[in-house]
Amino acid sequence: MEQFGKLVESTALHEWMLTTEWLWPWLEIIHFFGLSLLLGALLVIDLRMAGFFRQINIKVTHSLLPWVFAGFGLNVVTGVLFFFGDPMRYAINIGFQFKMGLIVLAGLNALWYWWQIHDEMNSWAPDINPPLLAKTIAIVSLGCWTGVLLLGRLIPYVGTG
Amino acid sequence: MFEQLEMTEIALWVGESVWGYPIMLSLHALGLAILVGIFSMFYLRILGAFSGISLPAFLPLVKFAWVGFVINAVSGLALFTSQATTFVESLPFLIKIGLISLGVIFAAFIQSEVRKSDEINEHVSVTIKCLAGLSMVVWIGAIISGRLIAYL
Repeated sequence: MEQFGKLVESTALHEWMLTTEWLWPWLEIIHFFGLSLLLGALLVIDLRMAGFFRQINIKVTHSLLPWVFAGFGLNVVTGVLFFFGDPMRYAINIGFQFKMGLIVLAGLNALWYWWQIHDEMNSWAPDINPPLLAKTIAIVSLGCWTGVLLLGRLIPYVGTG
Repeated sequence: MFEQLEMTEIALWVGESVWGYPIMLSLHALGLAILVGIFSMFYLRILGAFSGISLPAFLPLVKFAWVGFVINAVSGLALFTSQATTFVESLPFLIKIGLISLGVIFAAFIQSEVRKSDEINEHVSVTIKCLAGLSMVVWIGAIISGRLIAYL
């Protein structure tokens, strides 16, 4: 870990993150906007899949997915830059570690949806009360991303792993 | 008055306990994501994105976005009390409060206008579209000024 941190700290990107004035706050602002897009679009998709807001046609909720990916993309880019700026602080931070774990879990949960629900969805009525499995996946998704968000904000306040 | 606010029990808990401040900050980030996230989707829909979702069907969800507003009003007030005298003199903070007020007024107006349209005759005026675009700018401005409180 130590070596990896040293390696990151020897990059030009690390140098750029540390020496560019006002870069960090602006990246934070983008990170906040990115998480708003991500969670906002996911709330529409997942709350509907969890059985709420049934007046929304469930088949079209997935047209919001590009906004989920847009938010996620913004936050991967800004997040990686934060990591390059201060690798040793993040790598050993327990909040950061759990946050990364939850993102992986959210990804696996999305794959689970893809295998189990996605194809079946074509046969659903627009106002369907989704089956229990779909509801479970939706709630797990929202739980994961809420956790990611809260843990992210807690990184400066929790200790090392 | 602001000095007295800083001496209240809630202010002392937020300012001096180990977890008071981080908990309130985390809730504030969550409320932000719910509020700005759902409002953004609503305004993008008004501007023509994902038109497969009918606009009136979106309204109950927009009501849910106000849950985010309540979370942030409460957590924001708690955070404010802990450093009230500093916050009232912070320019980004004052700008942020101004932008939030503007965003709330716009949101209430847009919601009431959309409520008038129905499934068949889904007409959104140019004014409402402009206002939706402007609102997104206002909320992004609130995020920017909010983050800058810590830096200026």
